[in-house]
Amino acid sequence: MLFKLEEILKWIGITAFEVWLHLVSVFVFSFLAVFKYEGLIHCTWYEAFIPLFICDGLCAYFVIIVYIRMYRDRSSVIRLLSSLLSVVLLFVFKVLLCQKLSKEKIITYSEVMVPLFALVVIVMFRSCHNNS
Amino acid sequence: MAILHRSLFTCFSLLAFLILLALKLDKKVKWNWFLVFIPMWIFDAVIVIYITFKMIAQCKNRYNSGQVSMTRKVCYMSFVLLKMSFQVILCMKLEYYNEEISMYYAMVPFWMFFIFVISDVSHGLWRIATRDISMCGR
Repeated sequence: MLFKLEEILKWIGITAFEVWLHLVSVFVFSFLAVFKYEGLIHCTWYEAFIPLFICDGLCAYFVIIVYIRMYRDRSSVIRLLSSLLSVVLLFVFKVLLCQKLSKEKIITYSEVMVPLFALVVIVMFRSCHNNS
Repeated sequence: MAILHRSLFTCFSLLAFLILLALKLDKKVKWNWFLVFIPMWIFDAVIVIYITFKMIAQCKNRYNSGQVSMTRKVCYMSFVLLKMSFQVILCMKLEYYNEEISMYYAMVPFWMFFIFVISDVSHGLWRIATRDISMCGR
């Protein structure tokens, strides 16, 4: 729409497969969440979040595999850290959201969204860095 | 617009939307849901204007192979319209008709939007993969 796929990959610094994986996991999760919201299925929120957690696990796995394959390259460490940081931030956000929805902990939505705020700010700085 | 402007604009509108959403969900403010979605409305409007300008520019000038084709631009426009309709139905459900509108109706445009986006990304993935294989073969 506003971006071509190549531009998004260059901007966010992830591979096309990771984008595809995130999209599919959110798609599957949206079905589970709506069915749970409407009372069609009876599962815990942790079970509804399983597609998202699987996606995070696969992304972390691919990041580590790419690092192992190019570990002699100096830039690989920076790539590993930046990719792992975004995966960890997304994972923390999902776990906090899950805990909030399950009413396990008394936290506000502002606290739940802190990892997302951090991620958006990081992406913002990255877009400036890529263009400089 | 250069890619820097587009990416910064996306980040700013997303950040503003998330802040407003967090405030609304924590019940710190008692705004209408349509007001909370203002950053998204602005974002969608800019995308629609951007695609329209690109379409007009393509009609006036000659088409070259590096450009996105007209069919694809029409598809992108329909993506944006689906996203906007999802947001409108969701806002109406949350604000006025919580009981009347089922969540399934609100999610239908979202699911259609996602199916189109996933197929577009799959096509892009396929294109990148075949290009890499052909480059390795040389």
